[in-house]
Amino acid sequence: MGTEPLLEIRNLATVFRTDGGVVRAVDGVSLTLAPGETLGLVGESGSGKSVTNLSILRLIPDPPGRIERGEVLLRGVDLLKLSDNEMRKVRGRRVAMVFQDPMSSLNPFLRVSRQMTEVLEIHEGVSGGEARRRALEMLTKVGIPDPTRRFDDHPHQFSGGMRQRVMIAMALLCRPELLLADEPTTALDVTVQAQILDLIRGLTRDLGTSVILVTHDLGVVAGMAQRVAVMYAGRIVELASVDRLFDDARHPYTIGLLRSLPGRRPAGAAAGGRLASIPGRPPDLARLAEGCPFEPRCPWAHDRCRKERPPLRDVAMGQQSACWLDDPARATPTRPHLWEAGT
Amino acid sequence: MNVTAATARIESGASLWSDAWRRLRKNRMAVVSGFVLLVIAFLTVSAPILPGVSDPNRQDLELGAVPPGSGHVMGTDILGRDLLARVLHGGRISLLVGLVATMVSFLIGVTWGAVAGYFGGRLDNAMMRFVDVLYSLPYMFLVILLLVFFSRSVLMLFVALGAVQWLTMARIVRGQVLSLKNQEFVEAARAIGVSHAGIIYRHLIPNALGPIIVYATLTVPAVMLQEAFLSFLGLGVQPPDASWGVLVNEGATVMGLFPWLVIFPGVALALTLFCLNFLGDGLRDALDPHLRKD
Repeated sequence: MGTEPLLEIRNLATVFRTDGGVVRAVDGVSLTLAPGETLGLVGESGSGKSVTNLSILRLIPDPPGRIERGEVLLRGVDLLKLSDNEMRKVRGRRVAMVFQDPMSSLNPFLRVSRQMTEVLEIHEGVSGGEARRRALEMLTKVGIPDPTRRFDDHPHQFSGGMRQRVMIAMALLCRPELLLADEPTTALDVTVQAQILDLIRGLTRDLGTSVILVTHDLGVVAGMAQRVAVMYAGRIVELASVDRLFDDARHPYTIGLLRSLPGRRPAGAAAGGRLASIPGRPPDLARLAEGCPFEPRCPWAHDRCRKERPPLRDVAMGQQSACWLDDPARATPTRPHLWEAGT
Repeated sequence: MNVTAATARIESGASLWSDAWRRLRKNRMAVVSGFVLLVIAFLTVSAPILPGVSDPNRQDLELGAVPPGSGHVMGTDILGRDLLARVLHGGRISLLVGLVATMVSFLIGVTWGAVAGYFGGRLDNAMMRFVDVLYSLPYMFLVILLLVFFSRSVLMLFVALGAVQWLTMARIVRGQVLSLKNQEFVEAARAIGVSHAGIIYRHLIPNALGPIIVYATLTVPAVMLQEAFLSFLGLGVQPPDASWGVLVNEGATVMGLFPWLVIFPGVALALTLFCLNFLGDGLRDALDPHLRKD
């Protein structure tokens, strides 16, 4: 990468206290993000990808949640050590967020214009006509048809896709350095999803904004991100460039995810038929065993997987994986080919 | 819906209030009620300078109680005092007590409930237990205590009534805030850096305004009735001053002989309460963008 990272997360751990015990939602996540880079954060529900995002902005509801340890360095400054007031100046101005459900993330009571100018009032002290002018300009940029007429409408007068455009406009109003997008298209129609993704890609490229895109859709990642972090049970299990990940995924969980994608079949595999799936269920994060959390579902699990947790290490140029199959101490690589087992 | 909304749109960054005002004007009952209330308010406020009713305490013992007719539109009471003058002057006190006490309860209750609900946890617990304790005390006892300990002025009456009326308001607002604060738009507001105060006042309270307003409009009549009760005990308005409650009470004792003495103050009180309820209904509809009927 060479350049100084925009964001560096070191050993972040976020826990939730529940009746069922302490849930380690994020458990020792480390990653870096270069300026202008888009990182995909992939994993199934409950893998800790959203909690990672919320932890960066310190939006974890406390109680029951708590950021237990770690550092979140934004250009070298640890966000976790900032005072509440200093943190408030980071939110919305330097780090912005787009949420999953645009139907509920706008205040139903305030006009769209008011919600947008609020951001400018808080962070740049602009209000009145100047704020309205800038908000309207942004609303035009995100492709709201007839923005002047829609500007003073209430959120319920907008469709889901349009609301997500408004959310994106609000997020980018202050030209943040980092945009956290938490499954921004999951709640939208398929036809609208591509438009919204195009919009995020185009606008963040123009503004030079880095993006952490949380999604469970590897297809979205392929089109948007330069690098991907795959999360499982609160940890990153594989971190690689998009090309490496799709060409030569190393972690069995990533392999399982890729196998479950429609339309990505090896030449030998029968066309049609059922989509592959990963057997079993994600582990209970309140009761994690000692070994690799993916072990119970892994077709290649062996003794060591049950006893020790594999660390995340370099397995190739720009690719890290947390799996004992990639242990450099092993004499012969026994890692099965991507499509070998169980086709 | 969109056509009317578009044609009625106000170009320059209309606020929530101008928007609500526009919707309120479409509600005929609310408009009429508001107008009647304005007339009542105007008459009572300007009573001291209106001809013929400027002095509610001028007695004419020889005249005694006469039924409504020329000279005395609403008749006179046993002491020969003009009832119209007494109703208008009584309305000043009744309306003032209703409004000021409601305002006091509104300010304390909304802030208390919103803060407790928003911050939650131990603070919420402590604040709401305090409310529970006050709830468990007979509130009239509190009011009487306050009135006896401090001066027995009308001002103290406002404060004392308001100070015991905010409990239910606090509970209502807390409940609303609890259900609102976990919604995504509140998290989104936090994510753009809105302060706690900003979230409470711009994002939470406006969304809870419907129930707040309805309860506030119910508080006004409740307070007016309590004032009448206190006056009856001799703790409220002192004779010869009178509020509507006092007039109704006095009239009720001689109802069989001089029915007009209870009818006119009673009608004034009832009319005001009716109008307040209709206006409250209209306000609730106007303030909630979801409930628009257009």
